Amino acid sequence: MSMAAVETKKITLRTADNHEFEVEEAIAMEFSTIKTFFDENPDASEDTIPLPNVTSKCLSAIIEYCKSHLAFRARETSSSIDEQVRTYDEEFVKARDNESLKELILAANYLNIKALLDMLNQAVADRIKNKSVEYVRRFFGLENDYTPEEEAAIRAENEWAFEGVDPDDD
Amino acid sequence: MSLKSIMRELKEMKDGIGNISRRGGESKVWRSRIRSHVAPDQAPTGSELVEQSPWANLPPELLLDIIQRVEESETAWPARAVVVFCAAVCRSWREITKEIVKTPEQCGRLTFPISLKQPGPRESPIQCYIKRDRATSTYSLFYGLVPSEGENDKLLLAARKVRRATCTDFVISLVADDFSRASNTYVGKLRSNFLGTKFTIYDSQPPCDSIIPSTTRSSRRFHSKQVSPRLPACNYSIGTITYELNVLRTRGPRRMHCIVHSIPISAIQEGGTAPTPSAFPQSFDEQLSPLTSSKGKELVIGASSPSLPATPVFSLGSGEPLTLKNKAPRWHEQLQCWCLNFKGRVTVASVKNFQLVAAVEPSHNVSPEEQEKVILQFGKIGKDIFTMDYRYPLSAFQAFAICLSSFDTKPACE
Repeated sequence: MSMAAVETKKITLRTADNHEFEVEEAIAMEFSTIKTFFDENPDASEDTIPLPNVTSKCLSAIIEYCKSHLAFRARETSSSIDEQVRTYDEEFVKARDNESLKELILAANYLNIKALLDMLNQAVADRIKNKSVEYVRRFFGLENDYTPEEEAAIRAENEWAFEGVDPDDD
Repeated sequence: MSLKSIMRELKEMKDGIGNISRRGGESKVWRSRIRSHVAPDQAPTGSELVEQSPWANLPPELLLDIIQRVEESETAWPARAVVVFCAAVCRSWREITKEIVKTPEQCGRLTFPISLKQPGPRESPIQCYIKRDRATSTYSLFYGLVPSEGENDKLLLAARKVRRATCTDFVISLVADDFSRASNTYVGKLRSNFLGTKFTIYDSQPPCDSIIPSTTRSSRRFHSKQVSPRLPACNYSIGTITYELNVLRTRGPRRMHCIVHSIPISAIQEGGTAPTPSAFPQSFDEQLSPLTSSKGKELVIGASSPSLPATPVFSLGSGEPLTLKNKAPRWHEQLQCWCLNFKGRVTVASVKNFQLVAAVEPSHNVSPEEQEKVILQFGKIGKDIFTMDYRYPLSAFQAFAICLSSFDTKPACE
């Protein structure tokens, strides 16, 4: 039993690539997976929590995100705070390439951080909206698994859907 | 499309993708990419391989969340096309997308081509307009209140009038540049008799998913649970429209009578439903579900007449079909004309204008509110521009076909 003078309790997390992160309890509790674990195992708080599905790069980004959002929430709500939150989120996502976005989503899903996951999913939705089917397939690592007949039917569907989008036909 | 040309196109797309970041300016390129992008993927080269298993095994609930967000964010056309392309990515995406998207009856939105053959919403109509091009005898149905400034409204259906020796056909298609009956975009037609007093609506598919057509000359009864994986390409007669002279034989409005064989009268009774096909028959996501309508009544497919053996009539065994009639206008003494309250959606007087309501007998047990509902409204708002508002239990296709008949009536009934 440590008689620490520090107010905030720290939790240690170990990532897949064997880095250890010490985070404040408040932040660790943002990860519902961890929160649930501690609720069920109150004595385990001294142990290091292994996170085999999360890389250190991801975790540090996630920790930054949670820290910032906790700070936002601590302040009084106002429209300017909302604006700042929005800007922060936009910047958070804008810098990431598709690969890191995917990693973050999987990590946020594993750690069960709802707000972050919603935000990231929305970012992906926004990213693929303006792209082609080819792009989406590559992004998600999907194969075109239609038969030729099915493709013909889908082609007609797409023709109809995009008809009139651009009146200047080729 | 040869493999070589597909490969070449893919390469061009890949080279072009890096430059395309915004949809606005490059819409033309984007669209031409979309058009051909359903071609099979080239196998990814080593450097393009995405991260291995974790992402490829994306939990389905995450995928659902992402696709749902895409669907919810684009509810208006033309942006809604993105939902259609989500359904084109691969099978699992298609399944999810189709699951998410509701029918027009449920959500008031049109999403896939099949939405055009599904009943409209019950509470308020879907509002469209029709543009007539006299030069090409083409009629185009667009989604929207009135033609918009930028002229980029969503084209829903297009029809071309073809005069034949003893009748006139309006061939109806999903696109404006292909009216071939053999093409995947053909959805049905309207045929008029010689005098232009009687019209028949033909659907390229039966209104429900699980029907086996008869071999035409004799009529047979089929239980609704039977399923046919591939239906022959033929037309199903789903309704007739007749025009009669006004009794007074003066310049009074003509009478319209429309029998919709494919919709039972029960559709507008308490708790009733109308047939809602879930897919075009040649597509693979046809569901093996029993009929959504007719409350267990059997369906009969029979020959329409001995002289037309190749066109089965779709009709409901013992149930009565829905009949529509035009609402009688009132004579306006001051304005000295016949008037209907089009609620602002029709602004030019024309003999073509009409409002259709259900024609019911007291025995049909249809509530007064339902009887009052204008199921289809059509009228002129400018030179060659007409509005068309339709609602449950009609579908956009049926509504469009009925409106087309208004374009073809001859002096015999004016």
